[in-house]
Order: sequence, then structure tokens, then C-alpha cells
Amino acid sequence: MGTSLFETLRLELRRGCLIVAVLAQLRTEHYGYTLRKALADRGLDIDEGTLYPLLRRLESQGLLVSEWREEDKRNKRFYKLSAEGRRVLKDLLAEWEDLNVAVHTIVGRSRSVA
Amino acid sequence: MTVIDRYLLAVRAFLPRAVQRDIIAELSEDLRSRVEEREAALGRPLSDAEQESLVKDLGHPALLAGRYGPRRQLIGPEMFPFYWLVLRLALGVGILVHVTIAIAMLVGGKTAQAIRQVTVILPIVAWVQFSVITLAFAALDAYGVLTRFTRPWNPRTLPATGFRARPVLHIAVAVLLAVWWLAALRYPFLVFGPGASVVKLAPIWMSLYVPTLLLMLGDIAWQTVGLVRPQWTRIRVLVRIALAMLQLVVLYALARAGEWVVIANPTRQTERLQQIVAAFNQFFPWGLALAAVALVVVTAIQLMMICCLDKGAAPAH
Repeated sequence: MGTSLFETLRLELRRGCLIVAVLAQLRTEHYGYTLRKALADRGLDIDEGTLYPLLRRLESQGLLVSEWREEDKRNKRFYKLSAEGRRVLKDLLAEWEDLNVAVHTIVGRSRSVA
Repeated sequence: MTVIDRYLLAVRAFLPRAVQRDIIAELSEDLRSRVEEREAALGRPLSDAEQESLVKDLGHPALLAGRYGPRRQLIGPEMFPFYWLVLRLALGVGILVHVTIAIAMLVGGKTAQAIRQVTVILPIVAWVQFSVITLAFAALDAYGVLTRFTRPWNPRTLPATGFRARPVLHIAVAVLLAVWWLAALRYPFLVFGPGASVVKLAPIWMSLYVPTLLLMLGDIAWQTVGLVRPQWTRIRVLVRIALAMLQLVVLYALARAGEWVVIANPTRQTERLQQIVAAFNQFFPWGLALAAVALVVVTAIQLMMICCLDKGAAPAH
């Protein structure tokens, strides 16, 4: 019960963070496989079953653009941030910074009180 | 055909036709990249078991395909409490009505019909209620009715009390009465019980059937407005007074009739039955007079409560 609740809350916490991370990573162009590896190399593991639907959703929302291109004799779909995506990412990062500072302050105070 | 090919085929089957090719090509490319990376690390081709492990990480084909679709919900979390309240109310009243009818049938000696009422008709009606209410709220949610109607809200319009159980109960009772009245002409035993085989309602009730039903519906509407818009004090007072006056008119029309119950089958009338019907018709006007007095008193109390609540909720300027 406790583990299940933690898992639910963890997924909720990760959901928004993943979007910010994916958008930030796609400031440089990637295809799915290299994007996943780049995120994993920076400490953020994301499975394909989550990543590819997320990429498609972000693209349908106009935050990403993609194109099929041949690389190493194989067709791959490359994604990068759109102009709208850049604007939204900037706002999201500002929000993220504010949240981060606020949560750090709250957690710090709670700890000192405890 | 490898397990990866079979997996991709299975995922494809769950995807919308328009995007199948695109998504499968991308997934296929990803899986091939992963296979190549693992094979390069191991220095040999992957075994079937290793390929199975690879696709197992992606999850069941149906779940993976489902994640590509838009997030769907029939009724959103904001609308759900309203839906749940109405559904429970409707099902509760429905069950109460059918159980009451079944009990009346049992009392009237119609056991088979009573069992059918509870085991066949009640589940069908409950299912129809559930379907209609669910579809209606899904449509309201899709239309964004809550967002549209709650945007220009004013905190001053909030009621002075919390959840108001009494109006909900009044509405439930009013709905129950309206349903009873709708069924009363078709099922006389709902009025007379076992006596329905010997007596019936006089023709005046048929003349006043529709006006009475309309007044009952008006009362339900009035109670509902009191529940959802308690701050509409003036309109509630005016409608309550209008309804009370119309109810008094109906009572007056009823009082002028002279007889309210008649013998169902004149060929089978007995002296004793005639005496009972005559006694009932003699005392019924007293009942009507009492009903008129009660109506005036209840209306006065309701009007006072509306005005008191309005004063209590008035903001200090």
C-alpha cells in the first residue's frame, strides 16, 4: 500500500519534470534512441513506452518539430524544439527555478524546525 | 519472424490506421538500435530470450499503443462530484419508487407482478437511468459547461450554510410524489391498496391530473433552484407564492367536486360499501380544508426561512 502510494506520487512528480527535461534536451536535435541515451547519461532514465508517446504529444502541441532523415543508411526520425517550444521552455524553466527555490526553502525550514 | 517483428505487429494492431506506419517505423528503428548496441557489447547475436527481454521492457503491446492516444475520460474530476450526486439521487429515488410499487402489489395480492417489478423492471430502469445520466454528464463535460458557467462567479453568492441535506431530501420526496402521482391512475392499488378492486377515484381527479402534475414539477423546480441558487431570494419568494396560490386553486376546484371516491363496479355494490364511500366523501372536505391550512402554514414558514437565510447571508458593507 505504502509502496504503491509512493509509486503513484513518484510518477506524478516525474511527469512534469520529464517534459521539461525532454524539451531542454531537444534544444539540440536528436532521434529517439540518442535522446533517451542522452537523458540517461545525465541521470534521467526514461523508457521507450513513455518517451515516444510523449514526443508525439509534444509535437502535436506544436512544441517540437520532426523529420525523417537517413543516417548510417537507416531512416530515423529527428526531433528538435520548435520556436513555440523554445518560448514555452523558457517560461517552464523560469517556473521550475521558482518552484525549486520555494521547495528548497520550505524543506530547509521544515528540517530546521524538525 | 523474430519476436521483435511479432511484437511490432501486435503493437500495430492496436494503433489507429493513420499513424500505424509512422509509429511502427520509429519503434522498429529504436529496437534495432538497441539490439545492435547489445550485440556490439556482447560480440554475438542476441538469443531469442534476450530479444524477448528487450521487448518485455516496452510493456504489453496494447498498453504501449494506448499511450499514443489522447488522454480520454468520459467525465472529468471536476464534473464527477455533480454526476455522482445526481446518479445516487436518481438511483435512490428509482429504487424507492419501485420497491414501494412492489410492496403495494404484494399487499394487493399480485405477488408475481411484485417480483417482476423488482427483478426485471427495476434493473432495466436503473440501467437506463445510469446510461442517460452518464451520457448527459459526459456531454456537459465535453461542452465544458462547468468552465463556462463558473468563470464569472461571485464569492458573495456563496450560501451561508454548507451542504444542504434538507433541500436534497425535499427534492427526493417531491420526485417520489410526482412519480407516485404519474403511476396512480394506472395502478389504483397505489392509492387504495387492496380496496382498489371495489373503489376508484372520481372523475374530478382525472380533470385535475395534469394541473396537479405540473404543480408537482413546479415544486421540484422550485426546490432545485433553492438548492443550487439559494441567493435568488426574490424569485424564490415570488414563485413560492405563485405555486401556493395555484395549489389553493386546485384544492378549491377539488373541494367543489362533491365526490372524490366512487364505487369501481356499480353492479357489485353492497350497502356496506355504499356507506363506506359516502362516509369518505362526507369527511374528505375536512381533509381538503386541513390540507389548505397546512399549505398556507408551510408556505409561510418557507418564506420566513428564505428571508432569514437571506438576511444571515447578507454581506456587511
